[in-house]
Amino acid sequence: MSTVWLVEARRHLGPFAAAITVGGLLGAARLLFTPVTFDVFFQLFSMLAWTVLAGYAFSVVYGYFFLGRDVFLHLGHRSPARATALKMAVQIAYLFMLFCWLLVFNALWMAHVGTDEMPVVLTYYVTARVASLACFAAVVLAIIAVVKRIHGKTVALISALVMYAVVTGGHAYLMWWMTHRGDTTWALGIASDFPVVNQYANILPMMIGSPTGTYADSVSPTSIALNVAVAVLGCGVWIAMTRRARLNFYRR
Amino acid sequence: MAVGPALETRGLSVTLGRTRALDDVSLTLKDSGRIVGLFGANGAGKTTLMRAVAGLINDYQGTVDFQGTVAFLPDSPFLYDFLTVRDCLRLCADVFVDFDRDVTAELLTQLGLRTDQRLGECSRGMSEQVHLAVVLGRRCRLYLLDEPLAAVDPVTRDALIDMVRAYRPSEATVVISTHLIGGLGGLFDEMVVIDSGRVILQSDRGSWDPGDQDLERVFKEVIREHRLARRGP
Repeated sequence: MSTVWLVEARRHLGPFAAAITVGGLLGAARLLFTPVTFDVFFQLFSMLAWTVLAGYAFSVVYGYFFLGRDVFLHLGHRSPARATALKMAVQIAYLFMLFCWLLVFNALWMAHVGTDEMPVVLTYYVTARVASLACFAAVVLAIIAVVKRIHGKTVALISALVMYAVVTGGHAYLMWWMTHRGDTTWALGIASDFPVVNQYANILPMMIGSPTGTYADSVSPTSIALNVAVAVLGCGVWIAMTRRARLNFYRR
Repeated sequence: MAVGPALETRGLSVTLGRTRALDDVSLTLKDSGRIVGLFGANGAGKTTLMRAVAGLINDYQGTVDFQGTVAFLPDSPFLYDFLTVRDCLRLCADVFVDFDRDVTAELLTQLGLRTDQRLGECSRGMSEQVHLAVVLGRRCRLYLLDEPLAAVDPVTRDALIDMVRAYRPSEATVVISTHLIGGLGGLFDEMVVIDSGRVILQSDRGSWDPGDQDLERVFKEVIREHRLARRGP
């Protein structure tokens, strides 16, 4: 691995290390002490950490690509598009590490409460999470490439956030429209209780509950496929926009 | 083979917020191998011009052209505080294709700087020396140094000036922006004065006396005349 990757990882270690530490402490407490109370804390922390760190990842790539932060990397031989992709890759790697770490405690928790569906649920959960991260990365890259053409920092930032909300909201609605049934319940958030299954529209967590508890088998492939499709679309927009746009004077 | 100018801008305009930072700047540095002084009052547009040429400004009109690559020393630190000087060299070798680690290592030795020290632990002057050594370690045709002498003592300032003279490639053009004009008359082969986002003077050595404080006098006169002319009768 080249030095620039390691340095970029070192630059953003702090927030993710803090989240991993706190998540580990809460996850251990959930297993060792009063289960219900710490289960709530752990779930709340997972959602909060995920939201804050996803926002952080957005701010890092937006700050670099749009605001010109990290002058050192801007002066290097990598094109702004490649360097932005590098930064996003580091953020996604950290988010995935956080997910894996929290997943360890979720798996231990599942073993603790006892379920014979654990391998199936975890397989879907991991696949869904990986697809959601890819979708998040691609959509964010596509959006910042689009707003790069906007003059004015405030207008561009508001436009980016509105675009992200619209794209993710539309994605969630499409997922619901494609998979809902009469006896299922949908809500935002995550849960560790069965037969609720956690799915993602981009990184927006959605709980899908069904009385039978077997609904995960049918809804997961659709939601995963939808995330992958949006990710491919986002990558296409990113590549098209960065190839067409004049990012600066420099021919690299 | 005909070689183009070291740097050429045509109709370069940059607006930052509501301020017209550069206004239709057309500047040609014809001859390579020169040291050019870029002078101007605070807010004149020196840094914006350098940032635009270095490719750090996206929102612009006009064109910029130069030969090869450009090495830019910004007026604020751009290396990461948590890295040691040695780590910086390793990182620069990865980020800049034209970086010669040996040149920078030699410069750091000359300046007496330790390579195991973190940049965050260096004084501002020492940090500035490391930054300049890194920039001069790049083998470019055009160097843009924005206020490289602002935070260093007079002895180190002389050492840095000698470094610039000795370690730039012979065909490279160096553009130095500085407020510390006094006593530097002998350093520059050419000077460019910028005010209110416009180039108001471009002059070769010979139009000032390199031996005394004449460069500062010329600079002040040009600025004064330009501002009087703008106010009108």
